Amino acid sequence: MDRENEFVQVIKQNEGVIFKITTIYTDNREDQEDLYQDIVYQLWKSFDSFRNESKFSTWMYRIALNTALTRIKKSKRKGHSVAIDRVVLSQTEFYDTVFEERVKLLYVQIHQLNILEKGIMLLLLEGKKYDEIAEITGMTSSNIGTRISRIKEKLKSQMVK
Amino acid sequence: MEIEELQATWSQMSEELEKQKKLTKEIILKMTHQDYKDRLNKIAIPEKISAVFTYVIAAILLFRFYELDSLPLQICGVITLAILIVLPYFSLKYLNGMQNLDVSILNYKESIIAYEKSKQRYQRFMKFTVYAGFVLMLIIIPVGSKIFDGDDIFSKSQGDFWFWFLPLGTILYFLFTRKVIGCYNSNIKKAGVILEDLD
Repeated sequence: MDRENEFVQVIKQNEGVIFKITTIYTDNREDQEDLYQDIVYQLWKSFDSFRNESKFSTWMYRIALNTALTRIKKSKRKGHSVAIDRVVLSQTEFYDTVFEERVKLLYVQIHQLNILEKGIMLLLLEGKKYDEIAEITGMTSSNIGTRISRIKEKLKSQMVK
Repeated sequence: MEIEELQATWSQMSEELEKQKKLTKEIILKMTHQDYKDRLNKIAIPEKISAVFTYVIAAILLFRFYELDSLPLQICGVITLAILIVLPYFSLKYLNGMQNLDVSILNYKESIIAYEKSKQRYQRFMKFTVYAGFVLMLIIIPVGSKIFDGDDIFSKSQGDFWFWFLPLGTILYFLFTRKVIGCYNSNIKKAGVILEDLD
């Protein structure tokens, strides 16, 4: 399989993950679409540099999270972008109302975390082990443990409010 | 929601997303093209337009600098030129620095540190531009009136003009920019908190 087809397969396999990352790091549809495209672009640009030294998912999460972090929001500073398939970014429309409410509440809570906590929380929700979270974030596993405890406390206090 | 509930909701959502994959090869490849990325990356357009506009004014001033024939006018002219040339340059430089971090090399923590530091630097610079803007507002009057009207306001009496303009201009300027400076201060502080947390 050539490099281009290999890349297409990888993105197809992970389109849900990219979607979830863009939802966490943006607060409107336009920024989300732009970020989605930017992540795919950055992954493509770095695709040749992936050397199997780490797991593919570790590499992908790191690039996607870094891109999300460094992308300046431009909701009020519109540039021209070609809309990608709208369906990709409107997945929740098929859910039942109760589930949709739970998803909204989930995002509301995550949006209140700071930039570092958001990344750790996302990886935790994605089912990553502390070691892999540590590898992606560049922190130690024990530090990740401490920060996850703090995030849990923060989420609890948000509930009380 | 407790963390367990969040995880359950997240898992269910992930399953739904898996069922709804919609990206096609064509869409993915379109997103990988450089010209596509260029169209997307237009965040610095307002800064670029203002930079061009500012440099045009600086060029006019430079070509007609010889018309500033007294020392006070020449001092005002040099300061005006310095502000017009230096500010847009650093504005674009800092903005590019924020946008062009190498996302493939850094880990998340390093990216946050690099990004927040750049952000702090940019916000401090923007705060400085507000003060520089005030200086520019004052000194561009004698320079502009000499170049465009031939009037040297330092050599003849301006009546009550400066008596009213200076205090009124100062009050209005800082009244209008107070919110902007507050916003810059808040962003600098937020970035500082994150950096301190990562120390």
